[in-house]
Amino acid sequence: MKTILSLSALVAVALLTGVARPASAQTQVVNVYSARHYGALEKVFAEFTRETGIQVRLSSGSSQALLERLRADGKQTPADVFLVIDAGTLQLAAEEGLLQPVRSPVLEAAIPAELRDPQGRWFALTQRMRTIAYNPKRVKPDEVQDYADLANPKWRGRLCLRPATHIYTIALTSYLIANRGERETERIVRGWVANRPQYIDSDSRILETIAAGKCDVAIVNHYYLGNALKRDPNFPVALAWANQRGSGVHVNITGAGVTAGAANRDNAIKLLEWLATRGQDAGDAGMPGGNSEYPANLTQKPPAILERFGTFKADYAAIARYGALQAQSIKLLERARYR
Amino acid sequence: MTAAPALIVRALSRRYGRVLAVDAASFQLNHGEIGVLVGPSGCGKSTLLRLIAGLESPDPDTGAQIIIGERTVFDADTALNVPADQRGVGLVFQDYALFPHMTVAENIAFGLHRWPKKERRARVQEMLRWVRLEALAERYPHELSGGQQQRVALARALAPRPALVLLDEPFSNLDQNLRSELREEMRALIKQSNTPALFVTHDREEAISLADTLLVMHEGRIIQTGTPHTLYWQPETLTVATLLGEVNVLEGIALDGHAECALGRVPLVRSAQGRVRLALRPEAVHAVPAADGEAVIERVTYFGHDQLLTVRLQAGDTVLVRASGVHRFSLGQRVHLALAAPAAVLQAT
Amino acid sequence: MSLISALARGQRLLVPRAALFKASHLGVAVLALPLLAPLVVLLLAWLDLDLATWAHLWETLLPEMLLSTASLVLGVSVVTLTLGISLGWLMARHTFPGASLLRAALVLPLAIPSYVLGFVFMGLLDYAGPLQTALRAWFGESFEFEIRSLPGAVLVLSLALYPYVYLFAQAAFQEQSATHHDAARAMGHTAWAYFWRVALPLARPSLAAGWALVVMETLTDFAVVRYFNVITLSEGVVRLWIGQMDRAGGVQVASLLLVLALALVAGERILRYRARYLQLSGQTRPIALTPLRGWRKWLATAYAASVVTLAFGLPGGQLLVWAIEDVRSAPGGTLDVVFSTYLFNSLALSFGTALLVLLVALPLAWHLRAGSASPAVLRALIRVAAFGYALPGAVVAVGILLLLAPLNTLVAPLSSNAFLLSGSLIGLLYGYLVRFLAIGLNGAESSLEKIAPSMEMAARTLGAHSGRVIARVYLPLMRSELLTAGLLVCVDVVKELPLTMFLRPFGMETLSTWAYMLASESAWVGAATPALAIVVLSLLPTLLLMRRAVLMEVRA
Repeated sequence: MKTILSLSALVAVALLTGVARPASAQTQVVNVYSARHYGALEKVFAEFTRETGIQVRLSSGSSQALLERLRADGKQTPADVFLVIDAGTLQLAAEEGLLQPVRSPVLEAAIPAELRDPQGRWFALTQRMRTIAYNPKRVKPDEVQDYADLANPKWRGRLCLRPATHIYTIALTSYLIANRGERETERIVRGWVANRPQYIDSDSRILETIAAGKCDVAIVNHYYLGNALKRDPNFPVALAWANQRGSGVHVNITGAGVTAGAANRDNAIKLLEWLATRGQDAGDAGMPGGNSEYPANLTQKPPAILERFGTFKADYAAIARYGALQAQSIKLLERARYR
Repeated sequence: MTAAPALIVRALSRRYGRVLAVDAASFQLNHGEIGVLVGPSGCGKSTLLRLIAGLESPDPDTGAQIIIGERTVFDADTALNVPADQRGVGLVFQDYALFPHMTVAENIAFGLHRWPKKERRARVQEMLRWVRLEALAERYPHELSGGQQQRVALARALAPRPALVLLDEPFSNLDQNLRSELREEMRALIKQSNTPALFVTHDREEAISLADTLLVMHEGRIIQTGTPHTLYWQPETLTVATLLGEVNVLEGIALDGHAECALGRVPLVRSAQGRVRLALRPEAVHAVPAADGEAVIERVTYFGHDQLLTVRLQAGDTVLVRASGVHRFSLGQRVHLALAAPAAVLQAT
Repeated sequence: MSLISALARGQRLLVPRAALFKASHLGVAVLALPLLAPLVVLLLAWLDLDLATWAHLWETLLPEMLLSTASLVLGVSVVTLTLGISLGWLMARHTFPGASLLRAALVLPLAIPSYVLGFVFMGLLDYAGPLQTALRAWFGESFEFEIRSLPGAVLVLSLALYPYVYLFAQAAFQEQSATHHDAARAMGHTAWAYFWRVALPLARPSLAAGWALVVMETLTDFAVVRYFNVITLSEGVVRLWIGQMDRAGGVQVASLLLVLALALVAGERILRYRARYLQLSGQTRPIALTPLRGWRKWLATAYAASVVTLAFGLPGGQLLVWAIEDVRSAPGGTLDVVFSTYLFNSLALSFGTALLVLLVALPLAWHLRAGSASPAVLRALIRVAAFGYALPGAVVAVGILLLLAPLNTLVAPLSSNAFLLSGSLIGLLYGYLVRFLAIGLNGAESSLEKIAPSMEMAARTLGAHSGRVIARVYLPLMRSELLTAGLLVCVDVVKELPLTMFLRPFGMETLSTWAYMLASESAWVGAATPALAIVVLSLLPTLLLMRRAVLMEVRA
């Protein structure tokens, strides 16, 4: 018995030290809070490590959960880089002093001004359009020209939406408020809700549900369809760019900033610079390419699969207001009984 | 009161695989009578009780029958087998089987579910009064003493006015001092209710003191039936003789009403001829101190109210003698032996 | 599974001992107080009561949250009680083809955490899933049912949680005295009436214990309700805290949840009042198993087998299929590295936690054993410290984060490389300890009960010193109970999700966080590999429980 006890104690201690393995002084590391976990990102970081020798350690979570965690950490945060999939979350983190300003000629040259914080506290790395997907067999393109079209009662029981809890829905609402004001936005949202939408907490499942015939129209991020088409070129769902006659489609970003307490500040900046340049590759090893997103660095070509979506107008001006409008958007969604 | 017996059991058997737990048991019990099934543990007496209650089915042997009151509840020949809940038999268990989640009153009312509400309430009150537990009606079983629990169990079993009440070792969970007191009380209550009752016990003192009719069971069979007095003094077999108390077994030669044995010429309870085996209770032998006595005291076991003497006869045999506790006997003392009752003749087995 | 040993445990044997040293009292307090601290910190959140938040909540989500929570708890209670009681009764009282195998197999679903079962059922049963697609092919395009709904969540949670009720019901029905059955039958009640009026009421305390576990798990579930679009109070916690950045509001809703759970359990106790359900003393005849005959026996077999299939066979098979697909499609070698790292993390955490829990539990149990010789306050303190098991993992995590945040600042200057208490192993292990101490404490207590004080006296009088007494007498006697408790902790840690999500050290993923992350993105194929690993790891102690069930049957 004694031997069993001491043996298990030994094993436990050994295992725990294994878990806690501290970064040795020689290894260069950069710690990232990441809201992206599609598998593709790991490949991009592996490439970064191969080129620079800097190890990337990830801790994932949803954008909101990571922000809350960063708040709890304060100045002692173990994270060097805060990488999330929503401009609003980055703005809130910046406002609260959780991110530090970075002056980097590389970043400033690579990323256009509307896709980064004027003070350099965050930078976009990819662009993602949240727009309308539809079943081309049952829906004509001119029926789905704008988000407001989905409030038309003819979509009753034919609409699929992502739940209110997801940051995509919140950011979309903020974009609508920024463009059309709170009253008009609430009217649109109430129209969606009145159509008794099917709430599905996954854009890819929403697309599959359209393909299966349950929904005819939905709002999704463009790259989910891009990825689906990469797997199956005949995937029976089409994309419509919303609000082309107005300010343009709702655009959000994958973006990152250096945390205020970053212990590996230099590595963190190196990572951001690398992601904004070498990491912008349209192939599978690049950040946009791996996930069929549009590059933030406009000198780069978008991934080939996106060519079939054509050109379009996107509303860059609204991005700056996502953070400020977030709380208002959540309240609006609740009021409108959007689930 | 009808002339028909309260319970008739005919040729009842129950096999478990190859084991014959009850072997063609037959007996009857009259109205207002208390019967006691006595036997060593494992003799099949509890199984017989369960067969009568309908909790188990007897083997469908030809002629097997159970008649309670005038109602046939089991008949192998007509494949009649009334289920337990329709037999109208009261049961009292060794562990009382009181329902711990019901109060005393609820327990007693449990078997009265088919009675009209008003009558039910009246009957519960009556039974509570009868067992003198009116004050404890709202208590839960675990809040009662062992004796009180037993009285509740009896009241519960008798509340629906069963045609027969069966009691399975109802005193074995009580301590010795409480036992005889409760036995008397229970016997009086059952007699008062005039319900025919069948007890099962392995305790000889309990069996003898409770029974109007004693049924001795051995290896699945009922081997002798009669009043306690008859069975005590006139056992037909060594099994019955030893089961009911200490006994001297003597070999002898019988001629009509007497026999010659180590104690000399002794009277017999029934006439017999030739070589016989005799059973003589220690109480039937008197020991009188006498300097020229033919026997010597070898051992004295003193109980207070009486004492058991082991006495060696001249021929070398020993005899047990029960004497009053008043006298003082000493080892080696010579005594003269005299007979106070006739000896029983045992069947050769 | 973890509270089973706890709740099924018999009465505690109190061993009065000679006066204990005051020093040991201090030691116990030092061990127990930190376990209470996160709970206290949580309750302090009520000091920060924001009426505007509550007013807004009341106008928007709160009524729905309360209604869906009540409906969910009601639905899951009805289904788990129906399944658990009927299956427990069949298994405890009857024999039919395959009964002994099914008796054990019915426990298997305990190995599948509800957040795994939830995503498997979602993948199988939603509109785009294989079942509905097949049904549409047969019945036409108009055929559909909505799985993302309250009934869907009730189905999944019930299938995941019914074994709690089943285990308790089966044990209770098996223990009941045959004479109660005989008495009821002889008093003119049918077998059916006996079941309703005697057997079921007698089993009530056991059923309540199983049901309490089901209610706790249902109330604190945040994953299944998320998949199935049911806005319960625990979903509300997440919405408030993460969605609206209202930490205090979230914590307040969380403690509302807790109060609700406790009120339900306490309410049941009060209703039971004085009635005692323990069998009274005396030898009781065990109940014989009645063979079912004819169509009834096949119906029983079909019923039990279909529950096992639905709750274990089907989801297990689907996980296996997905996992194989995942392994095949993963680019060479990447999965190996990722998987082995996460597996290693999960195992290391579970072993470490088990050891820690036992190390803390043993002295506390030892102290409780002293009974009246120790101050009542101290004993109450230990009991309350074990209370963390009843708390939602996420709530414990918040408590610990709130508690450690100021300490972070304190230790920061002492440490060269940004050493942190929260988000470190210490924080995570602390959280596990708060959550799972109850399992260790119960294991340690029941193991100590096996040791009569006379044994220690005998050993001492035979000249053994105290070290020798512990090594030669105590540990060998306590071994199996302690190992069982340790194993139960291990499984709970492997399955644990919310606490791990919040408190894990930087960059550390475990099987459960990995599975949930992918599942919440509907990446079911990718989630299947870690989920399957969790199921396989959890099967080990489940099999242990099964063996105990089989042994029970052999004895009966």
